[in-house]
Amino acid sequence: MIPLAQPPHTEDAPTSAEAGAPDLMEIYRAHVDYVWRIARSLGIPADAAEDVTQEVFLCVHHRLHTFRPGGSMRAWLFGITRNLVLHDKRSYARRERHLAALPHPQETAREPDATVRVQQAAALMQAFLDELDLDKRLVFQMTEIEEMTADEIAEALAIPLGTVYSRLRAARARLERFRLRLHARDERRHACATNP
Amino acid sequence: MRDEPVTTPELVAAYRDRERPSEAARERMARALMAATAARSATVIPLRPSRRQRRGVAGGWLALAAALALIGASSYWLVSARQQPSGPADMLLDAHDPAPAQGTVTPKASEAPGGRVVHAIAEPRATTVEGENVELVAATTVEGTVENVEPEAATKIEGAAVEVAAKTETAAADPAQRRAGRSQARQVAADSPRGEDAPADPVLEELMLIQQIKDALDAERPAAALAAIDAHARKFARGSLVEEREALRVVALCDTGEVVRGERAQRAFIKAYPRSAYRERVRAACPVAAAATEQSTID
Repeated sequence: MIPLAQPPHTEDAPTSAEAGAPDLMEIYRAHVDYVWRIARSLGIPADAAEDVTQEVFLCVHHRLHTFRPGGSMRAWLFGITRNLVLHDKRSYARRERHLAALPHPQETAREPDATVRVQQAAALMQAFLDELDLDKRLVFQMTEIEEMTADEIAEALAIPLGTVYSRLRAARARLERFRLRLHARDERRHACATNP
Repeated sequence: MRDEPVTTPELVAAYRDRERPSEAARERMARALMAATAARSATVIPLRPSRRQRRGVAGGWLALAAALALIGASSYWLVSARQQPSGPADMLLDAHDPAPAQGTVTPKASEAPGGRVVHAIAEPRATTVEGENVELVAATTVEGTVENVEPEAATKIEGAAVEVAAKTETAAADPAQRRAGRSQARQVAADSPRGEDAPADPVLEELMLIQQIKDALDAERPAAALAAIDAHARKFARGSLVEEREALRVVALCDTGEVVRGERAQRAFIKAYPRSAYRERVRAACPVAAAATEQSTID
């Protein structure tokens, strides 16, 4: 089940601003990673994610007065991000096509402390997310990675609560199959290594 | 990978750690946002004034409208009393009335200077809110027009459309700078590659150059970024990523501290691409100087 009142990841913790008048920089610090990941999930390539993220927060700056104090900040941010991505969809799609054609696409430099194992695990998660369709992917990502509540997700995606749960169930079942596949592959490799 | 199977929390943690902006990108975005927050209150942008200023401009229009309405209504009553027995309701329903009353004066103010006239329906409830809407429509119309005219004409149109704000802005803008901006634009347009050493896929080459610029900016080497920008401008004066290049030029110039050139490029960019997706980033690129200039403009 989706955690209803689980303490979220420290970085993405809702700020005191959510209750009262939110401050732009507080919102930025609390949700920049979330917006970045949502933009990436919506198909924005890595090299354009910074532009999009920045545009989102500038947009937030302009529209802050329209944020409903009782509402979910992350649901609101999702709406802005999605609209912005859709607005510039064609240009980003064009860029992505061209970038995909490049022989060695350059990605944004990662942090130096990212170990090989972390990189591999992240790549596996990315591969799994890429296997999912966008509906399931968003629900899964919002639940497992962003630690959003089911209500927040339903609000963000404008879908019934039951749909959130059913999509999550399906995504988790796929993850289990994905992990079993990985495990089986590792077992085979191990067997090959020990019995040449 | 090691022997034990990777767990879901491990996958999630790794993904979180990897899929996020770099520290440099975070700082860059934070700087731009802080600058935008600081500069916004004093920003006067001719084509898209901020909400606060829009309200100010709308207030100006309303004051003007009220004055015109008083004069117009009184003279209308004097004339109409003699011509035909129409009451205030008839007057309000006539959209082409030369001197309507109260909020209905705003349609007159919404005449777009590009020869296009926006007729607002003169309803009795055409008060403050409608006045602001009409003004927005006018601004949109003007923007649409600006894209298709030469820069000099565009400056005139701006001046006419956003009367109060644009007048002060145009007065503050140095004509020499505007000339320089134009000549820069012409220079860029003049040396189009057109041919000899055009590669098989010029778009890919363009993309790689743009990526080089971004990489240089990421690595905080704005001088290298500017060199790459110039290289792109020489080779792809009319390329498909000119808009991106010019946006990055503003950022690079401001990063190197060349504020004057940065501002000039900023103005040229906003004029050339008023609806660009990069406009906010470009506006925030030279915030300190922009704020100072705009503050003096307001004063």
